[in-house]
Amino acid sequence: MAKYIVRRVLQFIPVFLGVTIIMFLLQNVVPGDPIKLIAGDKAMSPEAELAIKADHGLVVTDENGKPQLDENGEPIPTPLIQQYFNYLNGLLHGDLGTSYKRNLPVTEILLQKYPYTVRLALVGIVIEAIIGIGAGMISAIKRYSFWDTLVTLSTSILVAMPAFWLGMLLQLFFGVLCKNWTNGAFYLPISFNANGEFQDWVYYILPAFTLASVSTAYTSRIMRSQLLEVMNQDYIRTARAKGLSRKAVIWRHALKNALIPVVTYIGIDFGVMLSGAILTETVFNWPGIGNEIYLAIQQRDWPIVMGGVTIIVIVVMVINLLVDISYAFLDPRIRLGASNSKN
Amino acid sequence: MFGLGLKKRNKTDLRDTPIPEGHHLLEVNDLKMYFHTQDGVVKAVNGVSYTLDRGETLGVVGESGSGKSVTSLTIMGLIDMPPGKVEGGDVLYRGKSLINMSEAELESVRGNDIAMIFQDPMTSLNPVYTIGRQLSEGMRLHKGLSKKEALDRSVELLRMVGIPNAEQRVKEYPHEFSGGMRQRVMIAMALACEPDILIADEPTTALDVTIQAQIIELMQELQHKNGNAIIMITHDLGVVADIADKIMVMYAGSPVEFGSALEIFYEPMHPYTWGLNRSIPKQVQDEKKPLTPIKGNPPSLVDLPDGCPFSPRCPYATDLCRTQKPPTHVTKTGHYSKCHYSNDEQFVQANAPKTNRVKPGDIVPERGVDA
Ligand SMILES: Nc1ncnc2c1ncn2[C@@H]1O[C@H](COP(=O)(O)OP(=O)(O)OP(=O)(O)O)[C@@H](O)[C@H]1O
Ligand code: SF4
Ligand SMILES: [Mg+2]
Repeated sequence: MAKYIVRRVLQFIPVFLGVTIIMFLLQNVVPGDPIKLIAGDKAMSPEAELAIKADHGLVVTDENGKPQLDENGEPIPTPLIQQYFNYLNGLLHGDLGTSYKRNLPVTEILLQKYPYTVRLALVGIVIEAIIGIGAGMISAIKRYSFWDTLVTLSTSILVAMPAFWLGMLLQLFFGVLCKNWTNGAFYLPISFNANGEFQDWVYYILPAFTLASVSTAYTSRIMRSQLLEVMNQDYIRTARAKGLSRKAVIWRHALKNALIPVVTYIGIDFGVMLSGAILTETVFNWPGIGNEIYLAIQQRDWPIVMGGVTIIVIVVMVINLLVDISYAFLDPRIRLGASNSKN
Repeated sequence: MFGLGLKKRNKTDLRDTPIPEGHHLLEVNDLKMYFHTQDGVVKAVNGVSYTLDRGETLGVVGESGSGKSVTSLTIMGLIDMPPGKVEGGDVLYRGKSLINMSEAELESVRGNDIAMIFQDPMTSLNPVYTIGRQLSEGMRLHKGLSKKEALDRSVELLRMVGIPNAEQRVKEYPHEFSGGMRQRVMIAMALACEPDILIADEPTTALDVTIQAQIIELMQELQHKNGNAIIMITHDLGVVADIADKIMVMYAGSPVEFGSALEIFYEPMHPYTWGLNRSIPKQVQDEKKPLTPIKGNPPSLVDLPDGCPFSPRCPYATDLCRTQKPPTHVTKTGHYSKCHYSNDEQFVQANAPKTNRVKPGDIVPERGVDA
């Protein structure tokens, strides 16, 4: 197992480099000069512009941070490869650069935003796990019943519905149409307390549900089909032949087997949610990392985009590793197979 | 939550009740199990009857699809209904109907009074639990053993079925066992509660010949010790030749011949049984073609032939066979056959295969030695 984990971690490196290099190249081909955008409509003096570029390491500077000029008196742009190494070097020291627009360290901005994404993802994953697994179990156990039909129907609707549209409908329904009844509780604007924290978990319900809607539907479908498939296995008949009741057979023998692929799906989905769902966060004006990256792209605030993507890549890779480990934990064939490959 | 359903049921085991006067340990009376499918009604079991007493071994023989497994699964109450439906008949265990029993009562019979070894050892064990846990389950349920007691007994059982290093192996998972080992585990599992009746559904088909013999020997040994009855299902008449007291030959969902093992081997009355006899290697010596496969395929169970189900393949079939269901011809000893011509001694004498098997007790074989 340990060797397996080390191997997986080593596999991270090329993936990480690949993703970040692509991001790095992309920002250089997207039109729009970020530094000009900082000033907005106002004109900026060439000196001020050069100073900002020097600050962000976009031009070559001397030891004092002064921009170096070539023989024509023009600033020398930092070669891309040098910029990339600077980024990696900063990353190793926990420094993701400074925002063009806000002149704050990227880490500070993202650390302030990320908890909202994490909490939203947590609520989302709980909704997905409970409703998805529960509904899937019910529709498998009570196959072809009214409940099965209801689950099948609602999952079809959820899968077909784009998240932003569902989000808007929920806002409209709970926030506008039922305003008096819900007392605005489900609706934005989000209220903050003095510490800048959300006052109430209630505000998480609608965005979290929107975030988790499609994957909850998939979870319940996977759960249903897995449970039905497992219930047809020979070992279920063996368990029945021992004298276990139908209920005991489901809980003791079928569930664990059926859950293996479901847990994998939910785990990977958790990684996706932690990447900040741009659509959901935008629709709900959610102050998370997805929304932040979305705004940063519009403003060509590349350090924030790079920093955000960096965090997302790392989080997704770590979550996927954890999913693999838990998969092995659930399925002895994989666990023992992996440790056997040691020798 | 996961301990659900492992409390010992504090009812007395059915096997401790005496068999009522005039009853057998197990009586199957004209049992019919039909599956209602989209393609029509599959008559998988169509009028099976036999009786079984303690210490006896019944061999059930027939081609693939003849309804051997479905018959025993019906007895165990393990057929999903729907699509299955008991269309008639009854199964009495110690005089008590298993068909009309409540699910809870059946649960205390299953694995306890009547246990079953399944056909496919590779898929019959749960891949995510240890062997020890799967062995323990039945004993904890029926005998009320603690986890520790059940595990100790599991080690004992594994040792009994000839698995070396049992203390270690109870902690292992099914995929760490070979096919033969898993079949031994299945046997240990079935024997865990010392059942009154052991149903073994082709317990050795997946195994190589040497292990086959060992496993059959093992089951006999335990039968000798515990006095339980065995139902041994196989498609190979040769396998049950030496161990069965009684044999039921099944064809297309119904028994075509039933009798003592001696009767089935030395005085078979049904042409299908003759065919099976001829297809046992080394069984027949005084005929020109020693091995004769039965030609053709069994009929569809949805659309059975009008007359005798064997008529499309029977070399002796007449118009009578093709139009009329054959009656059951029963001899004084209870040996029966479903063929229009079983009561015609000349026909039987002329066509039945001669065998050179030595009847137990015979010093000089009666026939066929010189061929
Ligand atoms: N759930 C079901 N639905 C429909 N038909 C079924 C079902 N289960 C079994 N059958 C049919 O019942 C018939 C008898 O099957 P069974 O498994 O008893 O045969 P068998 O004699 O045990 O054969 P084998 O030697 O291959 O194990 C087969 O034709 C099978 O297709
Ligand atoms: S009844 Fe006719 S077809 Fe059927 S087994 Fe007898 S002889 Fe053959
Ligand atoms: Mg079978």
